[in-house]
Amino acid sequence: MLEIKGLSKTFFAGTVNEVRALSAVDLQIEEGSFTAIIGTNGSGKSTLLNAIAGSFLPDQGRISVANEDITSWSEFRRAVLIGRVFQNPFAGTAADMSIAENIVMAMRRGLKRPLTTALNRKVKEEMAERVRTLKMGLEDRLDNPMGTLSGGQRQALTLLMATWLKPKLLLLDEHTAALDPKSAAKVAELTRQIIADDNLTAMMVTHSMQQAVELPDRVVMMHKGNIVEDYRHEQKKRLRIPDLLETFDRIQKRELFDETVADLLKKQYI
Amino acid sequence: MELKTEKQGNALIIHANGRLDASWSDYFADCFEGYIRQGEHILIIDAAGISFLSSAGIRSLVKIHKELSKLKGKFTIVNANDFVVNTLRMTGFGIWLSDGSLPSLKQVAKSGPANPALPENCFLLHSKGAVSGEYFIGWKPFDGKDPKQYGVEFNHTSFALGIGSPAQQSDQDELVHGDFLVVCGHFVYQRPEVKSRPDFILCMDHLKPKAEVVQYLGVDTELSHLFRFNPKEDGSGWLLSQLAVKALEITGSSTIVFVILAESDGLVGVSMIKSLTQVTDKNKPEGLALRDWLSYSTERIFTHEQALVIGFASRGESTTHQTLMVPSSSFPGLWIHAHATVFPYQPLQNGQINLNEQVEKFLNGPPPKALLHLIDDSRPSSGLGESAFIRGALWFTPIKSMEEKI
Repeated sequence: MLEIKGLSKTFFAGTVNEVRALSAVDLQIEEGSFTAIIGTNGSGKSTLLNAIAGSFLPDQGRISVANEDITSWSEFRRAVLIGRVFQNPFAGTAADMSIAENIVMAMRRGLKRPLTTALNRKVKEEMAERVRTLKMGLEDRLDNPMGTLSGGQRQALTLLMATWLKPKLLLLDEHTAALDPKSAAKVAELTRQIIADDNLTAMMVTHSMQQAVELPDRVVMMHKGNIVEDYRHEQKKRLRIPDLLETFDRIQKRELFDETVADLLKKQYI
Repeated sequence: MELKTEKQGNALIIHANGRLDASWSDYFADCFEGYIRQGEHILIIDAAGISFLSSAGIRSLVKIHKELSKLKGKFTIVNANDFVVNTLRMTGFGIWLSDGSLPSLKQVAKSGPANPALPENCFLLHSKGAVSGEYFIGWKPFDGKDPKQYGVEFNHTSFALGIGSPAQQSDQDELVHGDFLVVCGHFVYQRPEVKSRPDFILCMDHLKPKAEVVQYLGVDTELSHLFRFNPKEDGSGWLLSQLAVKALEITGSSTIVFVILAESDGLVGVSMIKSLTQVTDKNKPEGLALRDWLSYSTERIFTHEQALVIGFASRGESTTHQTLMVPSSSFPGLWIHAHATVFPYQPLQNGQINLNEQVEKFLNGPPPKALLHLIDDSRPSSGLGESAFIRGALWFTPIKSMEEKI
């Protein structure tokens, strides 16, 4: 479904601020699978997602979705294949437009003449029907401006909009991180439900170990632009939060192992 | 609910004030768990201020009762009002009530140490005197030579540490040398792998653990002394070297073997992720490459967990067995080698306890979390120091000589 080969990206190359965000990442995502990407801050998780979505072009490597090489496609061209939900609840929707207007844009995404369809009664009914599944009472407020909704409600709607046309690939970039615990749990549950019902292929960046263990069927751990762990199948089934914490701990210990430690241990391991 | 405590003799009196109901029962039980953790195993609840007791409250008392009975401790409820007394009697827990106000504390006061020559909290378990131990050096790290092995079988009186592997179970079973420790014959070993966890073989009447060792310090004896320690007056714990020195002082010996079972105040140590016995001249790790072979704690770890440590300590003139020990940075002239394993915390009974029973209890419980070769990290400014212990038990025995196995 998604195939990434030797993907590399260095920001500020050649300067003192040089950051090697992705170094020759290889990853294959199967159709209908739900993968969580976890890792410390700056490990390259979001960069990987952004590279897939086309926010920038990679220095090296190839990305293909559904056997089509999209490496050089522009961001908007990829939008036909890819749905996205961001961390910031305000990023995925237009605050000054009504809920219905926002959704209509999502419904027409990727079409040549996106806004020719007026918001007629039939469209609105179809809209209300699907918004009702969120169980937030928003189906009665379709004409309200998006800006009047809470972060949790906006994020739920963004999720619905991103998946309205059943994208080939759904990218979730810490989409529950900015929400209060209750809204986060609700959006997480909604995510699971939509992905399962529509059998979507999804990738989710998260810092929540709980979500990483409970929601997806595969967990990929990144560190310093590399994939360091890939839990899938049986391994994923027996994966628990303490296992993930242990892996983080192991990576950190390795990081803090410096020359002075090496000297010390050489003297003490007798 | 307000709880105030007052120490009287061996007992802790808890003056409770408020309603012991569903909204306070968890808090109440948690506070008591804290007292038990601090070594208070005889508790007297002054219930004069408890105005109400619900089933949730009784549940928390049952929990405390269970915890205490495992430790041979107990609690008594005094000064309870009629409502509390009736509730407890009707639910069958009348035995917790004391008829008097405060029980005579003489009953609960324990007799002092049996031997007046020993310091407080120290017990002489037998007086067979110093024993002989043995050591084996079949391999040295980083010299690139192939290790020589020595086969050992452990029994209930074996205490040992070193680098080795459980003996081969089958032809496919490959020997991988890692750090191990042996307490009362129970063999705990960590196979050197990235995600490795310690494994163990219990010593039983018909099953004696066997190992192939390349470095080994061991004795065959019953440990002769037990010292129970608590945090010092300033609240600080005991450093590994301080406990070793204490044991050397009590026995007056120049070499000892010791076992610590205690609540950890932070361990500093290293474990192998690739067996160092596989180092050859070709793959010798230089500088940072050592981190592919060893995992260092890099901070004080496993604080407030239960650590089981075995160590050998020696002081005074240089002897050959000291080649398997490292000089202590805190005590000039002291040499130590210690390995530790870690279990989830469980309180220990006070007073004289039996090492084998305790170790079996821990090994039969949740699995050990780690096996560490303890390190004295004396690096200037960034050093982590030594492993330390808050409260627990130290067993030890004097060693008169260590014979080299060749």
